Amino acid sequence: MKQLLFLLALILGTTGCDKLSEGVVRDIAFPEHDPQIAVTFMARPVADSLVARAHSSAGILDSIGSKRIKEAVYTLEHAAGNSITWGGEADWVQGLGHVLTDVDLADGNWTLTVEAPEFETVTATQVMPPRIDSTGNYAYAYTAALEDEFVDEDEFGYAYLTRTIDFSLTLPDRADAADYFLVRAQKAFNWDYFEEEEEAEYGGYVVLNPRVEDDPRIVWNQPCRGYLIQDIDAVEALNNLPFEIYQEVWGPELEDISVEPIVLEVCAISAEMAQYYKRLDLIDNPSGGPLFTEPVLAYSNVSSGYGCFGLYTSSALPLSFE
Amino acid sequence: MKHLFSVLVLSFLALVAVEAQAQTHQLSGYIEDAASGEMLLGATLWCESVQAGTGTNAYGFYSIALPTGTHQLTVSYIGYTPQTYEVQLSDDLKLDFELSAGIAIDEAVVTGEAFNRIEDQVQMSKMEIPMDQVRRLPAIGGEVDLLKSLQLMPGVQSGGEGTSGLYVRGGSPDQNLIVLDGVPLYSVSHLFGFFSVFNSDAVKQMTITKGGFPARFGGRLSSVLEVNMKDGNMKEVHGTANVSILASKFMVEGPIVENKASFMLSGRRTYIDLIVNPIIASINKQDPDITTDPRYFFYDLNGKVNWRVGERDRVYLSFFNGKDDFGLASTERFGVSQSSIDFGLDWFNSVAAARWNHEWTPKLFSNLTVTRSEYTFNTGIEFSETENTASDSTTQQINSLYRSGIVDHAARMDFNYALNNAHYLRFGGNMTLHRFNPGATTFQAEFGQEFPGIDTTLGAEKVRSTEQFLYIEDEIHLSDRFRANIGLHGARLQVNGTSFTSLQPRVALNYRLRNGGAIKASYARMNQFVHLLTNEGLALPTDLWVPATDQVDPQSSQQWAAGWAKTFEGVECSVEGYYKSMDGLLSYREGASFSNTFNANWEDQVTQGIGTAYGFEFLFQKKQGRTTGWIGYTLSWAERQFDEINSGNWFPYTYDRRHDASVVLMHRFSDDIDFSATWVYGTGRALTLPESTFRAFVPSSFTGYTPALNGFDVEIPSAKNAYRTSPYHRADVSLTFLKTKKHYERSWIFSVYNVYNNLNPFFSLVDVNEDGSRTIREYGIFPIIPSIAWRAEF
Repeated sequence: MKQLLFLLALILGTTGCDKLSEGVVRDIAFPEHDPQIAVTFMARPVADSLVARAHSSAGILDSIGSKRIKEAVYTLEHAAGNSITWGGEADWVQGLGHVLTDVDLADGNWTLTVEAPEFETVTATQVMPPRIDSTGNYAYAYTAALEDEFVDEDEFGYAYLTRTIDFSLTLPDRADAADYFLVRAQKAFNWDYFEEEEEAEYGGYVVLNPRVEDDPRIVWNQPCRGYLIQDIDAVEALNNLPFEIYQEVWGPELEDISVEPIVLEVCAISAEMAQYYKRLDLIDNPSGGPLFTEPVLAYSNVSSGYGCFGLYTSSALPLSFE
Repeated sequence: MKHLFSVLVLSFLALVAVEAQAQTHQLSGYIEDAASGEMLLGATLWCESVQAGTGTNAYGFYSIALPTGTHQLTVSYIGYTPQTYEVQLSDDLKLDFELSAGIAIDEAVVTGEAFNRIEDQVQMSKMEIPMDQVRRLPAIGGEVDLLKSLQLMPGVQSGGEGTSGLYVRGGSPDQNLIVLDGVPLYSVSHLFGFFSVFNSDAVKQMTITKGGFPARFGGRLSSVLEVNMKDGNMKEVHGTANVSILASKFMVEGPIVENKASFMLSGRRTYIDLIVNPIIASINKQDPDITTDPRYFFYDLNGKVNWRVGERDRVYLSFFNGKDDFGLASTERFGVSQSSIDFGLDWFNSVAAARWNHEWTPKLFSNLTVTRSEYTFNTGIEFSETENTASDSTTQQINSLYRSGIVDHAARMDFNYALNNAHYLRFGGNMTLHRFNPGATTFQAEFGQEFPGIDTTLGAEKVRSTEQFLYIEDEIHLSDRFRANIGLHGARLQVNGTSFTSLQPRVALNYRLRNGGAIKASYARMNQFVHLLTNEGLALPTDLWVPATDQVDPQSSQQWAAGWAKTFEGVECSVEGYYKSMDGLLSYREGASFSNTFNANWEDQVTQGIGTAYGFEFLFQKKQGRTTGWIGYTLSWAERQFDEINSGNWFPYTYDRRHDASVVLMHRFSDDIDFSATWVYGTGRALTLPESTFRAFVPSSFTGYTPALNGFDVEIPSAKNAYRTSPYHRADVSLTFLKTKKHYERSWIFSVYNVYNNLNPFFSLVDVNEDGSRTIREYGIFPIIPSIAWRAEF
């Protein structure tokens, strides 16, 4: 009896260890993926050029992944009837995408249509947000005060300059509509950039931080490297939002680096564009890692496809502290 | 409804009037184990001459009204030899009965047992596995687990391979009220859910109620699991010792003053760390510049003192402590510098209770319970880097510690009033003071002498709330065939200046058919003022208990159930159907996780929704005889809907399991050899998988020159829980050899987990194959696992 039990345990144990070494139960079968157009076109009223991209979506098991569609043709049509068409292989610029030049878009409703061989045509509609500027009907206001400045020169005469600025921003807030903004530093801190520029003769970056922690109106967005700002309700106006700006620049000449301006980009963006980048951030930067975070469905305003057609208006806000 | 109420009230008054006219006397007392003096809960007393019976309450007390005269009384309890007594009654009489255990092998059928049969119990959806059967079930690593044995019952599912979480009738794990000697426990898992905190040697009885909740229960939506610790042997010192490959445990009980006061003490500890530490030490010796020090253990400790203060009073003091401690420390030395990292995670449960039973009159019995319950979870990481030079030493250090938990102080008063044989009233109330700590992070940093340090605490503030409830229920004998339990539970929560009130009607009906079977139906409205914030995929100690607040509503449910039950030749058969609707369910928002609560308000990370669960359960159970066991099958659906999840569409709950079956067989070959086997099958778990990808872009600039686009790939998940893991099935066997020695009885227990070596899914990953293609694979981690355990009982 004892020998039999021992033999049984040995057999079972051995087969168990063998199976444990692989641990595979099965490969999960997926339905075949039907590729769709994933479009990105973020446009503002006036620009020398803007870039559109169309890619095909791919199944998760596809080792090549999402592929660019050089043949994609874009048509941007205003509600009044005028339209612009560009794209195809002729407009493809290597490293950029399909470039639309001499952009001048009127206010109102715009519809983007993207067509490509073997793909279902996709459309998306957007309303141009009000044109944001430091003056006008949809104006922002700000105050900026230098809080602290530190200058240092090393033994080789190489200069470093850091500044801390107290910055307060008031954004327009329409009573009858939701307002969405993106505020970012044009030369934001970026590890990649920093590492690339570390050896350069001139370099620097700007960090923009809200002074109120966990203000639900101001949310960092990693893909945009800026803050998405939203008027949560009519009561909570976007007045005097306090920020701290930190600037660090370096170079061989103190005089040159001390005139380096801080440039902020203040953008009024569409609700769809805000939602799109908010979702992308949640997907790309899961707070608890992929295993612990509730899965996020991607947002898209494109019919039968992925991606986003977004309209925004923007204004560059330079701050100088010579 | 009004008509029904009027009928019930009139019936009640009529029965009271009839009862008042008859010349009856009250027979009351306790039913005990003859060998130990342990109270038997749910034992029955049957009087053949008047065709009336009663059962003992949660403290072993019974009370029955009988007419003047001589009566044959049969006292019975599962696993005990039924006893028949002749009692002469001319006045109220207090009489304690004793039953002897261990004659379960003989399939004795006595009249008295009829009262305890499933068809006679008004309460439906209630299940009990006798502890001697639980101890005989096959166990992973030789460690018997109470909650895993419950998972073998229909309507109760496990959370995953090897885990002890309970998912009852489509409910979440937080919707189970788990009470140890009347004290709610908030976390019942050891070893990340692989074991429950209950030491089977210290437990006298456990019952689970899945629906048709009597009014005395409240505070949770899906189930009530009552676990009662042993009171302690009043007559002799006895004990058990158990050694398995994972842990050792002991239990000792005995009289402090014979037949007056007793104690029970039990403990358990794992020794994975003690086995692994010498191995790690020898590995560390090979490279003294790199040392690694992992640690893990859990322990639990139960204690109880039971004191018969007088004829009418008893006092019980009990406590439970349990802790899991996991950590990993590592140190590396490079020349003059040394860096170390120490990660730790521990969770701790502690409950204490004092209870006072008092028999006011032969009809009126009360129990006062005062309790304290605490659950804490801590996780921290310490990182330090030291540089020692001949002249100087610099240390940079960063410590982060996250704490969360809940502390309850509660007082509860329950009364049992045996008005007459037609009405058994229960009423009482409870007040609980909750103190929630929904997560706070302490962050400390030192960067050497030149720079200022950081010492700050982030996170949610503690929340205090007061929860009260009152209840009344009446078990009514409307006729020989028709019985009912009707009650009302009223609850109230006050938190942060907000209050929530709920009235919860409860109805259970039992109608005996002429062929001996019974039709049962029940309705219960339940309310729950606490939520467990958890990620559906994994049950972790990081799961956060939070209260209903002015921003987060309480959970509520309504459950309708109907069924049929009958005992055929000692085999209890029951079929039940249920429909449960749930409201106020809590979930993390899409993209949120417990780590958001480290430094943000948890209320901003959650969203609320609704759910439904419905199904049918079949159970065939043989509780007595040489061969015992059961066959259970559940056909069920469980779905949820949240406006902010899955685009607002309904989705299957993670533990939506269409088919769930279990077969349990226990056979006693002889007094020396015992065999048991189980087989389980379940539909695969619902899960969300990444389904496709696309490339997204962001302009590099929103002003000025031609903005290039920065691209990155985005994975798109499937609709919520659109996929299923493989079906789960597994068989376990156990063979026990018993031998009676001079001073003790010893057992060798050989068990095999997953005997036909079916690898069941535990997690899934996207794998890149050698040819570059990708596959999503399910992996299992539990193959066949043989184990051995040794047990001694003295």
